[in-house]
Amino acid sequence: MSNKIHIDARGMKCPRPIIELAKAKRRNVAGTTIHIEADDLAFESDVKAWCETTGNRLDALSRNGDLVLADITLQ
Amino acid sequence: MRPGEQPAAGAASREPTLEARVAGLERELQAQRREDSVSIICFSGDWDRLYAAFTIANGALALGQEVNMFFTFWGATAVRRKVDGAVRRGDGRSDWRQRMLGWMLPSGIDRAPLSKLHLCGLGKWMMGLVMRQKNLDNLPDLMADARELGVNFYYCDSSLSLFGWCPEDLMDADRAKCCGVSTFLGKSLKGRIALFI
Repeated sequence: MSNKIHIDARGMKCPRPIIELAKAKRRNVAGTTIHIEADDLAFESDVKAWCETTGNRLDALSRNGDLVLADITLQ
Repeated sequence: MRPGEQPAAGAASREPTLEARVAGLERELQAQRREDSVSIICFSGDWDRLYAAFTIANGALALGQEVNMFFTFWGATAVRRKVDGAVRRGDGRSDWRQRMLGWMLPSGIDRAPLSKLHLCGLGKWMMGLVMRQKNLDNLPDLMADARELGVNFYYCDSSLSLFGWCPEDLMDADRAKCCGVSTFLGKSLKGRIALFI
């Protein structure tokens, strides 16, 4: 069964949300899905760049007002 | 020449065989291959510049890069370790001038001054208040994160002897490496980005 984790990065500023993603990647195995929400302005483009560079799959990315929601599957 | 046909004896002796040429090119390619690494030379002991250095270091670590930080000159003074509240003074290797330098220089990474508008600490204090209000990270936290994500610290050997310190006087002495410029350049030449901050 694959593991699911949730990261609440609301209120965190760059580079903290990406640091939290990187820590989650170090602590979890491939196949783990991460749901992360953040309201930092840089996060929407940063999470795309993080997934592209680290080779993890960005399943969904949506914006709800100031809040950016991303679903990622670790590869 | 058709496949399977042997080249003329004269041509073979002058020109390297296809296998040898491919092997040579492979060696060349291997030498040019870059590692996923970022090198940051922390020359400045200013708080804002160190903040930028550690922000970039954390970003690069999060993107899966190996990050090598080389602390030299004023940068080396910023990573001095505190022991029981007091700053270590260099295990008796330092003479009175070096001890005076050590006494005048800021102690610990969070005591570093701003490069602009420091105003005897007033500017930095106000900036600290705004940063806390905006929920921005502080420098010791960024440093702790970089450690957790596996940053490599290098300390400039010449700077240590200039200030009369031993590696134990600096933070992370157990995992940091004291080295000279060639060791660090050897690391950064293979990497993708090198920054001087």
